Amino acid sequence: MIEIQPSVRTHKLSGRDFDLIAASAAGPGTIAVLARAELSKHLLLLRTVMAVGADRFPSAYSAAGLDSGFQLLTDVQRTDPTTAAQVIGLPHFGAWAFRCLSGFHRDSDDRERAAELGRLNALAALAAIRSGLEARLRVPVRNGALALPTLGALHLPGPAWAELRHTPGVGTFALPPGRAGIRLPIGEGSGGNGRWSPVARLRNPPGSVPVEVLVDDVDPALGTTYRRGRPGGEEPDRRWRTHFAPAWRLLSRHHGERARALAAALHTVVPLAARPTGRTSGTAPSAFGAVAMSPPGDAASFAEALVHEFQHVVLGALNDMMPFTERDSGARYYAPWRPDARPVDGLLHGCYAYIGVTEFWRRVRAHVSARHRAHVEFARWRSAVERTLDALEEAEALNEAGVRLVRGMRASTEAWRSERVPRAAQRDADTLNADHRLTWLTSRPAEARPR
Amino acid sequence: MVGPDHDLESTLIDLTEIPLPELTDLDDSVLAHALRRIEELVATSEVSAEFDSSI
Repeated sequence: MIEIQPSVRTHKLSGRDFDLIAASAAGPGTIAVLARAELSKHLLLLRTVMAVGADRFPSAYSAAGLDSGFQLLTDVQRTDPTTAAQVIGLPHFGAWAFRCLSGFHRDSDDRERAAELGRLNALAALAAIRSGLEARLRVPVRNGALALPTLGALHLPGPAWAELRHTPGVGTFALPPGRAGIRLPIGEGSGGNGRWSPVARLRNPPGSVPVEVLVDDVDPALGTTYRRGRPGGEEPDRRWRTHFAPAWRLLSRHHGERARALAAALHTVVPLAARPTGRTSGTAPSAFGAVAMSPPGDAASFAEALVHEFQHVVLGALNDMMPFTERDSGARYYAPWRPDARPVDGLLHGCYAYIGVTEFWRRVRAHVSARHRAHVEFARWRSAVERTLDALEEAEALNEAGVRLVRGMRASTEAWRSERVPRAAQRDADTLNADHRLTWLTSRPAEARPR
Repeated sequence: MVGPDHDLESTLIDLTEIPLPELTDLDDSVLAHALRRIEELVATSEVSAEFDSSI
């Protein structure tokens, strides 16, 4: 148990919000509570980056001009605190701070560290642009691109840094050393002689739950977080636009509460390259509000991936507020969705994600074209989740919050038991689960097989 | 066991109302537990850098 000094105020979560999260029923109000806690996390990260950077890497800190970015952010907070909080709360901000802190431990040189640290200036510039303040500061140019979070990237080969100037009513300009200024056509779509790659935005189709999601393949912090960096200049994969509207309509019509919560939590999708074995997706706890995934193959798969990663986003944020386990006991468990054995924390997060996936298929299986597959998905993950919950209920490492979480997760699955599945689909689901278990068992020596 | 009407205390310090200049003035000793949590989070982030759809 961590002791907290009485003078320090900490975040609180109502029992009702906790239980809503446990039941995979968090709505926009609960998401807002989590987002507020994430804002504190980002501020703490900012403070830590500034303190550790100045103390341990003074040359990089100075070269990055971090104080000018911090001062600009302070000016924005003074005049427009809402915008400052929105920018500090961005997944780009969390990803940036984590990259800096983890980079402090890596073997990188001062030039690299300065470029990493200097991304704060780009975030501060964004805050100034959004709040209509004047800005003039240096920002790093990485891999030939000057990226402004959530807005886009300017293709700018050559310099490592460029000055950025923003004058309200006039415009935003990049001034590379020794070259003429380049106007950034922010909010005007593609332009700037093809040099400017705007971040794509996906919006809900008419009649569905309102949402706007960025498809960001230019932000260097998110890109490196997800090992997916690509210079700007290419049009984002058309499949995002093609499949988003039907995916969102599917969620809005048949899983409306989840769509509303997703709209509140989901800010950015980071495109990943598909693996040779198929689609992939993921969520980093450092970037609340962002998920990463390979381009979708169809609307139902896109919606499923969004729900899956949304579950990780929510539980990751709750886990930032409180631990679910005591110290790792070393116990490892079979996870029906992974080739490796998992610690109880990983098992818990995975199970929570697959509860979301199972509920998704339960709700939409009668409304998608590939019905057999939908029934199989529901039946497969229903069994897998039930089995995993059995293991979690026996896990000794869970603390009080973890026990309560698992109890809520179990309760949320009770309605599944009476659901009927076509015989052929159930058979295929059982075969898939049995094959996975068998492969898992035979891929490791008997003494290494966990519970 | 905490009931549904009771708040759960987080270990995360609430900084949402702090003016930024005061952020850098916070004493390490005040933030000790929070800084430990940051270290944990950074470590977690490193582990979870192996991305896949199934955690």
